[in-house]
This record gives sequence, C-alpha cells and structure tokens, in this order.
Amino acid sequence: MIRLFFALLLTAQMASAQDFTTDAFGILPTAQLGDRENWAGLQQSSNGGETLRTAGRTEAVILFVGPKSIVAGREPGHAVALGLDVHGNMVSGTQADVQLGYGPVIPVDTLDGIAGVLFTPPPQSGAFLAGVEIDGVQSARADYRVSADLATVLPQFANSEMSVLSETFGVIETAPLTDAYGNSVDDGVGLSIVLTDESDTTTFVPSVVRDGAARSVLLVRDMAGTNTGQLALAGTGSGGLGFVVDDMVIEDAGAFVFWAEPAINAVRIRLGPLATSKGYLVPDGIAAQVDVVAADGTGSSVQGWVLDGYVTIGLLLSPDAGPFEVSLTVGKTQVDRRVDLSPPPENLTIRGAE
Amino acid sequence: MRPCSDLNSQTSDGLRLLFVALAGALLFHGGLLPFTHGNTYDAFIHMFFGDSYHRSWFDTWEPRWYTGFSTTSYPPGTHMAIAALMHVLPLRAAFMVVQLLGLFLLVIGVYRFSLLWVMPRAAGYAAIAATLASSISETIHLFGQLPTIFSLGIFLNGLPFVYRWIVYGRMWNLFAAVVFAAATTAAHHVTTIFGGVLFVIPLALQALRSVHEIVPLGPYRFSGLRRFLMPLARGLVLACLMLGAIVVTVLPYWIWSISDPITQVPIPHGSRENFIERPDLGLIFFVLPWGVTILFLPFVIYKTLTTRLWPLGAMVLICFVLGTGGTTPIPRAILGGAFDILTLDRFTFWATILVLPFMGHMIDGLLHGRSGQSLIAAFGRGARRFVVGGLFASMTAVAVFIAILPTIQPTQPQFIDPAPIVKFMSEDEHDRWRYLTLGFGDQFAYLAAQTTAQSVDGNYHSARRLPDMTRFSVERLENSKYLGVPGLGSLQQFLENADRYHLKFVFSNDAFYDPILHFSGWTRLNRLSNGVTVWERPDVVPLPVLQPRRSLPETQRFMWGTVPPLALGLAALIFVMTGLNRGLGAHQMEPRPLVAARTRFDNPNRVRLIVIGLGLCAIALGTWFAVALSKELSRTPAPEDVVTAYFDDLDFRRFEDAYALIDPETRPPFDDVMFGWRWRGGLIASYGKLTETRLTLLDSSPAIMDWEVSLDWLTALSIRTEVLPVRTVLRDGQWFIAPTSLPATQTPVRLQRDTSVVWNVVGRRQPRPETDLHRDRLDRPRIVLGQARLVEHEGHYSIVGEVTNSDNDPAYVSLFGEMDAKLTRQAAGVVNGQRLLPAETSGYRIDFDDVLSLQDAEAMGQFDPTLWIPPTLDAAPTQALVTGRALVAGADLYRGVSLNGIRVDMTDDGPVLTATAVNNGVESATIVRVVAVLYDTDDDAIWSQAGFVETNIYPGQSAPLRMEFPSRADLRIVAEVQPDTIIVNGSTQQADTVLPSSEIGTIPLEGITGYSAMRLHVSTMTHDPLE
Repeated sequence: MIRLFFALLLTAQMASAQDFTTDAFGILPTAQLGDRENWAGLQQSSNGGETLRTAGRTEAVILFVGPKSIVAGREPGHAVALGLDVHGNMVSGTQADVQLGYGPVIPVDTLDGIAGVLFTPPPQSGAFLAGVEIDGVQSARADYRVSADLATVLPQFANSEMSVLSETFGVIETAPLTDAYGNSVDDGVGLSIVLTDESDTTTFVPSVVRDGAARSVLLVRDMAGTNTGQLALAGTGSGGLGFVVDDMVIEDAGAFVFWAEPAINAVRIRLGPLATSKGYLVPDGIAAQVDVVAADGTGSSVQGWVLDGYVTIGLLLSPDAGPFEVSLTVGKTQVDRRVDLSPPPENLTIRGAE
Repeated sequence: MRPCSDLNSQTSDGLRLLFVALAGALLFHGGLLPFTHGNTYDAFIHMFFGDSYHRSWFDTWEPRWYTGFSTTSYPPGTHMAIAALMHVLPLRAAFMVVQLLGLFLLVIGVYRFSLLWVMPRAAGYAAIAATLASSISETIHLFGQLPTIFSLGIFLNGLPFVYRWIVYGRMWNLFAAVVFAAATTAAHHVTTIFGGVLFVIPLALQALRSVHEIVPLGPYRFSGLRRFLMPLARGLVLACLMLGAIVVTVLPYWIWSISDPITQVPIPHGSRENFIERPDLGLIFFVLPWGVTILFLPFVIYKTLTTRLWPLGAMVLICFVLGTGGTTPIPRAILGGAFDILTLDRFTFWATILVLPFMGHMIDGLLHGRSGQSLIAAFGRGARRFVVGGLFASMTAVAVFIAILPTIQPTQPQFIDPAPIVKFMSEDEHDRWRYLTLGFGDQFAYLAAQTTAQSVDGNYHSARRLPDMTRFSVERLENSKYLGVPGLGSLQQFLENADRYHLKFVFSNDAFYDPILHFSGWTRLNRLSNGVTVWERPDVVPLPVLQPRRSLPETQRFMWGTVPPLALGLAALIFVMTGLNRGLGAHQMEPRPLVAARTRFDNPNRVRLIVIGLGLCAIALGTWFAVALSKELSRTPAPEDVVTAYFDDLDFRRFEDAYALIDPETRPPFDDVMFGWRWRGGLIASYGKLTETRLTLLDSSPAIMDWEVSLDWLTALSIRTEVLPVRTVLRDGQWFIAPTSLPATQTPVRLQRDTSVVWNVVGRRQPRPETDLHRDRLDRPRIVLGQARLVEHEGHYSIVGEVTNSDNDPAYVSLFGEMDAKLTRQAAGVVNGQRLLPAETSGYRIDFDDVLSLQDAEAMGQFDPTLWIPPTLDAAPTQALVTGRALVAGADLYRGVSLNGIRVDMTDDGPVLTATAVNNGVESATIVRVVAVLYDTDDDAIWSQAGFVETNIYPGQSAPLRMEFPSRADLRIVAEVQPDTIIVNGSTQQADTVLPSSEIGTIPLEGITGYSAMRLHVSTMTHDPLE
C-alpha cells in the first residue's frame, strides 16, 4: 500500500510539473508546441519564463492586385503586399517597393507586415504586371487589366443605311466601340440589335464585340421591306439604322400542273419553275401559300414550300371537281390561274416537298 | 398411424430428396446468381448497407445518402453478414455467398416446415419444389431481396421448435424458438411479424390438433378442454417471448421508427394496382411468382376442405386473395389503411411458400401414391411420366425464364463501371461536395458503395428525411423522369437549389436530363470513360468540415452492433447442433398423425373421364383464345390506330416499323425518310418521351383522312404539346400515313465563316503541387440587380426583376430570393439568363411554388403539368429580398441565334409572342431558350418568363417560337424589393455600365394593355446528344 501511495504521489508530482506555454493563440503543453514555438509574439511559460519573439528576415513576398479588371479612368486599384519570414511571420517595419507596371516605383512602409497601395491607373486600357520587393526579396508577379469604361461607350452602326437580299446572310457592323478615353471595348462584350419594319414586326439580334467592334451576321428570313434598327450596349442606345431587305419578286411562275390521284380520290399539283428577277429560281425553303377553289365550290388552302424551284403539294379535292382556280402567293407576289386536269409531268420525282 | 418401417423409409427418402433439392439450388441458383444479381432491383442496396457496416461496424450514421441517415432504419443481419465476409471476399462475392446461404436455409426450412404437415418424402418433394419455385427465383434473380430469402429461411427452420414447445413443452424448445425468432428479426423484422400470423397461427392450430390426438382424455370434468390449457399457456408464453425478441433484437430500429416517424408520401407500388388494367404489373407481381404453382390451387382447396391441412390451406387462400392487389376490393377491405403502405406481392410470395407442403404431398401422391396409381390405371405409365415430368419441366422453365427476364427485357441500364466516377470524386477534392446520379437505375447504390463521397439522393426511400424528397412520391431523384411532372419538379428543386444541398456534380447516364441541367445553370464538364457525362454547378458552397449527424446513445449502438449478430450466431449454433444430434435429420423427430386418405378410390374409368373432360375443356378454351387472338391480329387497323402506332414507333426509335406505316405508293426510299427523322432533333425529338397522342379529324373522304394530331411530350423541362397535320390514305384495304416533309427552311450558303470569342478560365488547371492558389482566383464579376418586385400571379408568388452583367468579363449568375412569409431561400431556375456576356441583361423570376405531389387532392393521382399548389406560408408575404453572386463564366455563351419576325399580339388570355428563331452562327443550336422580361407602364419590370424552341436549329436553319404571357391585370405587385435588401457578391452593388432602361434594347409593346416594353435574352444549349 505504501509503495502504491508513493507511486501515486510521484505520478501526481510529475503531472503538476508539466510545462505549459501561453501565446496569443491559446495555451498548449510546451512539449507539443512544434512549429508554433517559432510564431512571433509574446510567449509565457508556466514556469515563469517569458519570451518575445519577433519575425525574422523577409524570406517571401506575396502580392495581390485587384480588381481583375479596373475601369479606365475612374476606378482605383488596390495592391497589397505581404512580407513573411521563414516561419510565416509577418515582417514589420520594412519598406516595400511596389511596381505597378507603369510609372515609378512606389515605396511603402509595411505595417504589421502588410503594405497596401491604392492607385489609379492611367486611363489607357491594357494588361499590366505588378511586382513588389521587400528586403531585396521579390514577389511573384501579379496581373491586372485596365478595361474600357463601358458606361462612356456610345455605340453607333458603321453605316446608317444598308440593303440585303432576301434569304441571305446580311452583316450588320458597328463603328469601332471606344470609351471616353479612346479605349476599345474588350472582346466578348454583348450588344443587342432590334430591327423594326413598317408593320411593327421586330427582329432581335444578339451581337458580340470582336476586335473593338460588333459584327452581327443575320440570316434575313421572315423579314421584308425597310427596317429601322437600334443598337444597345447595356443602357446606352445608338442612332437609327435603315436596313432594307429586298423582297423576292417572281417574274415567271412557270406551269401550273394538276393531275389526278385516282387511288385516293385526290389531286396533286406542281407549280413552277418559279423564276425571279435576279436570274435564279426562288430559293429552296421559301414558304408558298396555295389556295385552290374547284368549280363545284369546294376548296383547299395549303402552305407548301419551294424545292428546286417548284411547289408540289397534294390536295383533298376530287379530280372531277375541276377546273380549279389557283392562287399562289410567294413573298409579296401573287399569281392567279385557272387550271384543268392534265397528265402528270413526265419524269416527275416527288421529293416530299409538301 | 403408419407402420414404423414405412416411416423410416419415408424419412430416408425425404432426406435424400432434400439433398437433391440443395444440390439443385446450388447448381441452378448458384450458377445463375453471378449473372443475374447485377440486374436486380435491390441487390446493390444491400451491398451498400453491407459496405457501410464493413467501413464501421458500430457507427450507425451513414452520411453518403440523403445528406445522412441512420442505418438503424433497416435490420442489419444480412448486411453484417456481408460486411463480415468482406474481410475475405469482394463485395459482390460476399453478397452472393450470403444470398446462397439464405437459399440453402430456405430449402432446408421448407423441408422442416413441411415435415410438420406431411410425410417426410412429401416434404422432400416440397424442398425440390422450393428450389424450382418461380416466386423464389423471382425474389432472388429479379428483385434481389436478400433479407426476405435469408430471414424466411431462418424463420422456417425455427418453426419445428415452436410446434414442439406447444405440443411437448421443454425449455430447450422454447429457447430455440425464441432464438430463431430473434435471428429472423435480425435479418428482416417483417418476416417475423407477418410470419407470426401467416405461418405460426396455422402451425399452432396444427399443434393443438396434435395435442388433441396425442394426449389422452382424463377422467376429470372438462378434461377435453383442460388438456389444451398447458399448450395454450405455452403458446402464450412463446408469443410474449417472441414479441420480446422482436423488440429487443432490433430495439434501435423501433426507437428510430417511433422517434423519427416517417411523414412522407407513400410510394406507389405496382403490387397495389389492378392487374387486369395493368397486365404488365400483373405479370410481375402475380403471374410470374405463382407460375406453375397456381395449378395446385384446386388441390389446395380440396385438401383444405377434406384434411387436417385446412389451417395451412386457409392461410394460402387468404394470402392468394391479398396478393391480387387492387384487382378486387377485397384486399383493401381486409387491410384498410395498411393497403397503401404494404407491398402486396409479399403475400403472393408467402402464399407460394405456404403451398409447398401441398405440392410435395401431391407430387408424392403422383409418384408413390393413390393418384399416381389411378393415373396409371386410366392412361398407362407414360401418362404419369408425362404429367410429373411436364410439371417439373414447366416449373424449371418458368424459374429460368424469370431469372433471365432482365436479359430479355432489361429493367436496368447496362452495367456502368463505377471506377471512373469513384476516381473523379476522389480527385481534386471533389468529394468536398455532394453528387447526384441520373439514369443509373439501382446501380447507383453500387457506385455509392465504392466511394466515400456523399449524394443527396439515395436508394432506400424509408430513410429519406429531406422535405423536398419526402413530400413527393419520388422514390429516388435518380429515376424522376418515370414519375412525370411531380418527379421532375422534385428533381428541379434540387438542381436549382444545389447550393442549399452542397450539390456540385451530376453524373448523367441519360441525355433526357440535359435540358433541365443546362437551363438550371449546370455546365457539362466532360464524358468519362464509362460513357457517363459529368455536369458541374459552379459557385456551390462546399460541405462544412463538421457536418450534422445524429448519433445514437452508446448503448443503442452497442446493441445494434452485437445483438443481431449474436442472435444469428446462436441460431446457427442451434441449427448445427440439432442437425448433428438428429443424425442430420435421419431420425424422425416426433410421431404425428399424418394426412390420410379417408376412402379408397379405385375407378380408372372415372379418372379417365374426368381427365379427358378437363383436357377437352382446356383445348376448347385454347382454341377460343387462339381464334380471338388471330382475329385481333388480322383486324384492319383503323386510321387512328395507324397514326398512334406510327408516332409510338418513332418515339421508341423503331424506324423500320414506322416506315412500314408510310404510304407505299408515295413514300420515298427508307434512307431518305430516315434522313428526315435524323435531321429533326431538339427538345422534343431528342429529349422528349411521348406520353399521349390525340387525334382530331379535319377532313375525310373514303380513301383519305386528314387529322390534326396533338402529341404530348414529357421533357425534362415540362410537358409540351406538338400539333401536326397528318394525312392517312387507304391502300388495298389498309390505312397508311402520307409521307411527311422535311423542314421547310434551307441554309442559304454552302460555306459559312464565323469568328467567335471564346474564354479559357484557367482556375486550378495549373501544373502546381498546391490544390489551390489564392493567386488563381478571379474576383467576382460585377452584376447589378435592377428594380425587383414580389409579384403574385394566380396565387403564385414570385420575385421578378432583371440582372445585368456590368463587368468586362462574362458572368455566371446565381440568384436567390427570400420572402418574409417563407423561411426557405429559393433559387432562380430556368427563368434566368444565368450566363451573361459583359453588358448583357436578362430577366429572372424566382418562384416560391411548391410542386404538386400525386397525393395532393388536386392531382387525383394523375400527372398534370398545369396543376400546382401554393407554397406553405406562415402569413401573407409583405416583403422580399434578393441575393446574387457571380463567377467568371467561360462556356455555354453561344449567341448565334436571333429572333426574326417577332410579333406580340393581345389575346383574351394575354399577350402572345410569335417569332422565328434563326441560327446565324456555325454551331448546332440544340435547344434555344428565350427569357423575356416585360415592363409595366411605369417602365419597371413586372413579369419574366422563359420560352423554348421545340426543335433543334442547324446553322442557317430556323424554327418557330411561341410564348404566352399573363395579362397585366392578372399580376399583383405585393411589394417592391427595397434596394438595401438587394445584396450582390456579399456587398452593395456597383455598376461599370449604364444600367438598362425599358427604352433601350427593348421591343415596344404598343396596344398591349398594361405593358410598355419587352426585353429579350436568347441563350442556347449547343451540344447534341446524337453526336
């Protein structure tokens, strides 16, 4: 028992003798301090010792510059440098020489290891590389951009008038987009173009800036006549654009051939070839409205489309109901004819253009 | 009582047959199991649980599913067995070994259970019948229900002790009976509970009958009744102890059930359907499990009425009726409210087990008994061989058919190698976020077992606790497309509010979900080597280091980890000991009165007459059925049927069949037609599932009919209706579809050039040892949220406004809204531009609706996308706040689509926009979204809405667009969102551009009452699933 008592007593004494260290981050057994032993600041030991550790020589410098794109002429940037010793302690009381990619070196004293510079870059857009040197140690470079001030960009069309053939790609271009300082707008900035024709039908075209100007390709489909366009960059609008789409005019509608489909008591018709004033057939895919009224008063209206210059459709009309009054409308051209049944065209290949 | 020598001979025969049955089980099921378990519904779930215990035996919290759930929600016996075996075997092999072990137990259990009712040789045949039973084959090879097989095997092996305890007493029997009940509960508590009713009650009656026959009448008054007192008391004691065993063995499960009640919508189950209306479900849940066994039902009825097997027979018939599900009103009348919770196919399964003693008895009679002799006398020896051989052959055929059914008609996606996904989640700290799988089927559970990453989804629906999941009848998000709009609504909640659930990655094995992913703001990353596509949601907060978990008290966790395996171990010990003590069953255990024929039957002519009569009846029925079938098949399909079949064929990609329905006189060659079908893609053709076809006759003649066909397509975004004109023509008495045309628009040039701006957001893709550098981070783009409003539209509450990317870099925008009357923060969904170029503006709408579940009265059990339910609010909302944040975006910024010919017309229902979407660029526009924001007469945004172009648009092509908007009168401004409650990037707003107004970049709405202008934003999903 006595032995056990002494053993317990010894153990207790050993426990009470354990050394603890207190610093700004809390209390820890001294034996477990590890790297923390090297942290700067005041350390107090439970046995009464007191140590004030200061940061060592600058060994590493970190630099941050933001924001990533600074608005030219009106927005300040902020560069922050951190000087660290080998243990990661902030090195205080040194001088940081900041280079912002333009102008002279800016000397700044570090406070608690941090050197901050608020700066206003020149109003010219571009990419800049910044660096800092503390105690002869340089940081890795930090990059930032100065971008055009979008709020001062006044978008304009390259031309105030333009004309495009129907069913082709038209190109709408803007004048070079620059801000108040003459900086070109960055690639990728989005604009929108709204075109309105005489009947208040509208076309909406998203556009993207490339090489300082927006170039929009527009397939002129379902558009006709004179359109008025407006360009918008965020909340800034442009002057008007006169945008004229040449309508498709049929000069010669070719032959209208009706023939019977006795197996299904219907008629099939082929209209064309539809020739235009431009010297080529009406392009494939153009919508064609066909209205037919038979002699017995029955009728049918079908929307077809042009393939290889022809409109070929089937109608639920009795072959005996003819002759037929036919009205073909393509674009703004309308052709009316009276047609009787005839044999089907020779070498006809129905291509499903219905 | 039969002579002792006959009994010994029978016992010996029975034992031999049992060994034959076990060998058959090993060869048949053991041979098939490696190839079938991967196609089952539940096997992977049990593997996941097994893996969970393997990783931590005593930890009952499983964080990998449902944002965490307690594994005490399912009895652990079989899963712990897998976990134990995983120390020496891979996961799948461990599962198969336990499954086979359970099967052996079941076959032996059937033999032992049958011994209590019929002679040993008949019991041996019952064991063989169990090996070939289609219900067992289905349970193992189609459903993968390991605990059902394993627990029933244990339970049946414990029943002889129950019988002996009631009849003879002896504490050993009581102890063994209770241990087996505990072990059964450890594997699956439901088996003990329902087994106590379905198996023990008839057995108890049988035991009392035995007491009646064994114990002689005493000289006392009421001695006839007094001799039952002790057996009844013993039965009562046993019932109490078995109940105690059920409670104690899985006590944490019961505590979980009580303390964490499941307040979720019941999951619809096919076994509750009307099998006549749904023959497909009837096949799976009734016809296949019964299989050939159903032919024995008349014999069961006969023996129930004439022999002491009546308690067993009565229970077979009760289970038979309950197993018919919703086919008749009887099961609902019997079960009451439990009808909607129970899976009724379980009763069919139990019926097919209860019937096995009858089957053994009948087969024994055919081979060795009176019925076989009568058959020989009437038709000769060959007839008996034919009957018995045919019986076994047909049982084997049905059992094999069920086992290979998933191969014939796949119920699961093809095997997905989980390794690339596991690797992906373990790399680059991806497991700091949760993931979700889509289109994996039950293989999701297998994937989950391979990784420590967490998923918001899971595969054990009873453990769900997230309100967004428990509220809806969606078993898993994984398969939400099969649950129509409610299913997709639930999925959409998760995809839109991914930030709330720390959900960052989606692994999609089904392109159906691409539209909802893309337009909910998800970005397609890449395709893994297993063909699975990875989607990422940017700007999602990672999981916290310390996650909430529900820890059980130490005692409960200790109980959970020790009591069930202890019960299983004790039962195994008793099983082995009794087997050895009784010479592996060679000694008959107890003399019992046996089933005996009451009268002799020796009239071959009558047998012949009956059998021939039955045969003729069968032939007559078969002939009638064949004629009816032939008539049905040769009937000329009506034109409506032809149209419906045509679009069904196209939906299921049966192109040859669809081509055969096109008018042979005028149809182009197959390749030309196929070209047209392939040409058409987009939201409906590539991502839609046809749900309904409606026809309206427009015009008709004797040989031609013109129809307006309305096709309802379920897409990941909503149900969309496509209206097409279709002509049918009559050719030689058959109706055909007139050929349809190709799209009417053409690309006007042969070679198109374009320049575009693309971005490379480098981020962490640098060859550096650090996983993250502060220097690689880009500060958040400046976005500006304009004036926002809380608006009510027909009971829906929404925050409406517009967001502008006011930065010089493209922005990926996340928007969140809160109402004072609803605590939940809601994210903007598809009505949001999401990816904005610098200086672009888009409308947004944050909806606070709840999604309709099937159980809501409004739905009446039907999917209807027009139905909705209002949000649950504490009070009428009076104010709202909006939060937005942005990251630099680098993808999905195609801007090649314009809208031509836009017209906005006022109709009785509100403004309608029609336009033609034209692809001016050089990429294929798979799905085009247009977000429109409407301004009121005060020039403030009042409504925002998204519309989709239904077909894909190749470069130079175009497609129509139609959007319908509510009337201004139907919109009520509840509150203006105050500028100080609009927070962007954690700070106040700062704009680098002039902010948009209703006059710049908008379309004036003249003549549209209440609105002044409309702003459009067009965004496009460009990847093509057919590539």
